[in-house]
Amino acid sequence: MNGLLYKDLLNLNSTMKYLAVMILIFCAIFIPMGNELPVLIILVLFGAMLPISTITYDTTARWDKYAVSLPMIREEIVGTRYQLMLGGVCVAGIVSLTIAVAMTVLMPGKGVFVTFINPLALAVIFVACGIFLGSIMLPLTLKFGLRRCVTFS
Amino acid sequence: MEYAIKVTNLCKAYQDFALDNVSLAVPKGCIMGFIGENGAGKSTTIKAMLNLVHRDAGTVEILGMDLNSHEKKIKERIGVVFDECCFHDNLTPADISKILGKIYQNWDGKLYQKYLTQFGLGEKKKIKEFSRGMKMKLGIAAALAHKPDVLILDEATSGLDPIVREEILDIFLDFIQDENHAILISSHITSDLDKIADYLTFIHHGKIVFSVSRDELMDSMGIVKCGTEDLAGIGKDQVIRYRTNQFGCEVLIRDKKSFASRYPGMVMDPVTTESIMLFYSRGEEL
Repeated sequence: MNGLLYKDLLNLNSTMKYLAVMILIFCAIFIPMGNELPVLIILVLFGAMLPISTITYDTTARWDKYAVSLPMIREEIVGTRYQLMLGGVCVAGIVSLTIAVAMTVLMPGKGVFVTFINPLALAVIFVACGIFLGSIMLPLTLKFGLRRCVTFS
Repeated sequence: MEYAIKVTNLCKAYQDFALDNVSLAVPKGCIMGFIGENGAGKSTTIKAMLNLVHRDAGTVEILGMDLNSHEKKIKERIGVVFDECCFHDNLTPADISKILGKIYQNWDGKLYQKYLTQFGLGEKKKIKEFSRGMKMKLGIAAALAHKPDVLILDEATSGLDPIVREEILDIFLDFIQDENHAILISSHITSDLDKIADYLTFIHHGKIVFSVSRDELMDSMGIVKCGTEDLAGIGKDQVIRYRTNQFGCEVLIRDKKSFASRYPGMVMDPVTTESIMLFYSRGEEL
C-alpha cells in the first residue's frame, strides 16, 4: 500500500508544484481584498481532487492492469485512493487554517468567514466539505471511469 | 508431475466471445507457449488467471495454491509482463525500484540494478525517453527482480526487434534453469516459441485445441503436399486439417510414421509451430 501511495506522490509531484503556484496567485489576488473564500474553496477542491488526478495518470499509463498483478488485493488498491484523498484534504485544511489565522492576526475585522467563525472551526468545516466532495467524486470515478464522470458532469 | 500453473475448466463469457472450459497445466521447469490468432482468448485467459477479469467458472492453481484463497501469496511469487509498458512516463527506473521495493517483500534492488545494467537502461532516465524495446526490458527487469518462481508473459516480445527478442529469450532460458521455475508465454511470434517452448497450448475461438509437449507435436505431425485428387486417397483418420492452394493442397498429418508406412510414395515436410497454427486456424477438416 505504501508503494502505491509513494507512486501517487511521485506522479503528483509536478501537479502539486503547479497547484502551489496557483494557490499563491489566488492568495495574492484575493487575500488583500479581504476575501479568503475563493482561496479556501480552491484549496479544498484541489485536495479532494488529488486522487482523481492520480487515476488519470494511472489510466494513461495503463497502470491499473499492472497493479492487479501485484501482491495486493483490490481493496488495498482502492484504499490508497481514499488515503490520498484524506491526506490531500487534511493538507488543504492545514493551509486553510494557516491562512485564516494569518488573516485574523494581520487583518482583524476583514474576511468573509473569519470575521464570525474562529479559524479552527472554519478549517474543520472546509475539511468536512472536502471529504464530502471526495467521497462522492472518488467512488463515482472508480466505478464509472474518469471519461464517463467528466461526461456526466 | 508437479505443476507450476494449473488452470481447470476456466469459463468467461462476454456478449460476443467466450472462453469455453479452458484447461492447461504448466509443469515446473518448463516453458509453455500459448498460441492462437488475435482474439482467440489468450489475453483473456491470462487476465482471468490473474483475477484481472472475473471468472464465470473454473479454478486457477499457481504453485499449488488456489488463486481465490491465496491471491496475495501467489502474486508475491509470480512475475507478470504485459504486451505494453504499464509504468508512468514521468517516472524513472530508480523510482520503479522504490515503488516496487515497498510492494514486494522479496524485492532485490541489486538484482534489479544488475538487470538494468545488462539491458543498458539508465536508472535516472525518464521512461518517456525509452524506446518500446527498452520499456519491455524494463518490464522484464521489474518482473524478475523480486525473484519470482513463475513468469506469466502476455505478448511480452511483440513489437521488438530480433536482437532484443533474442536477448530476452536468453534471459527466459536462464530463468528456467531452476527446475522450480516455469514460464507461460503467449506470443504471435511462433519462431520465438520454436526456440524456447517445451509445451504448446493452442487456443482457437476461446477453446483449447491442444495442450501438449512441443517435441510430441513435432515428432508426430507432418505436412504432405499433394494434388487435390490425391487427398481423397488419404485416410480420414490420418488428416487433421488440409489447405488448398493454386498448386494443389497441403495436408497436416496426425501421425507421420504411420502415414509414411501406409503411403511410402508421398513426401512429408516437418511442421513448425506457425504451420500448425495456420492449419488449425485456416485449414479445413476432411
